[in-house]
Amino acid sequence: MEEGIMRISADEVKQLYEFTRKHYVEYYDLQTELVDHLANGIESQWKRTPAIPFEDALQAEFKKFGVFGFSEIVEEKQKAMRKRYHKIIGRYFLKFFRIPKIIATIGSIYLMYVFVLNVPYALETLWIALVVLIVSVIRLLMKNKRANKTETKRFLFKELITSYGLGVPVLLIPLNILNLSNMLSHGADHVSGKQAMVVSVVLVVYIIYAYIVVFEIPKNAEKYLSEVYPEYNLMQKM
Amino acid sequence: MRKSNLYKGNIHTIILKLLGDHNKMYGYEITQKVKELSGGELQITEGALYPALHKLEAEGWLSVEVEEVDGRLRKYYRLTEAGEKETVSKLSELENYLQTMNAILAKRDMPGEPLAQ
Repeated sequence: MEEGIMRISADEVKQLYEFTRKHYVEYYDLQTELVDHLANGIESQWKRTPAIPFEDALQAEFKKFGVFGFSEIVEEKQKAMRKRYHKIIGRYFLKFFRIPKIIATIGSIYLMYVFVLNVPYALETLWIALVVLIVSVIRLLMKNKRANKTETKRFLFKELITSYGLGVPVLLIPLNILNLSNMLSHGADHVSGKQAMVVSVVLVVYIIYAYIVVFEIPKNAEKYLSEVYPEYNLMQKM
Repeated sequence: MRKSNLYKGNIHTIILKLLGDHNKMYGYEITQKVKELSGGELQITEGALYPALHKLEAEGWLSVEVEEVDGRLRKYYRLTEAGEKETVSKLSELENYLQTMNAILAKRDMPGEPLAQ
């Protein structure tokens, strides 16, 4: 440390975190990065003019972020994180369409096809199964959301894993499948082979997707979190 | 020309190049380095720097590490292997562009000269 230069104190670091929270930066990783940035800026102002009070120096640094403050950075960060999350889903997904798993995937589609075509009330049974699935996913989602809210240090990627992935795609896709099968069974006693094939493919792909976001990724959550957030491990030790 | 227009499209290239030269850097350091290298001509704004860094990170071109410095956490960025390749290709892209621009600007278009076939 250079002598005679004023440094940001631990208490001021706390104030900076509070400042970012007040300016709608909810997630700890981004708060940390911005706190360090602001602190560096303030210290460099003190280097030139040591008499500037902390608050004034902070306001001057914040001004450099422009009229929208941190909001654009927050938005872009969310986009980047979603992209990373989708990439991970994509990696898992591909596995189901490569040897050896593709054999199981095709086998499941075939079994589903036979089931839809031959078993009485097959579509109705599938609806019930989907409703049960949706209800359990909603319960899991609510539980995770409550847990996330109580955390003092929030991590965006953790919330993507525990709620975003479950929320939007897992809950919206079944509605479309329900519509699709509703349309198929409407007034028709017999489902055609082609229709049964469409339902089977869509359902199996959906089940794979749901399996990945509900089980596979959360199972490896710690691994992804320490990959995305090097501070995650450091923080656990602090 | 307004300063901001000069580098807007090249902010990713600038970041990649700096990280290629400096091993690892943190956000504030990058803004200061650009200012210093350009003699104050270019200033990467905070609002542009961080989105660019996060985007490059999501692409897998940068990796991050966190260290405790002066009682606070500092996030460092460094190039990944894929990032090194991307830097080479981005730089040669920029070089080609500059050469083309130079060629266009250096040539005086003579009035009345027949167009080359």
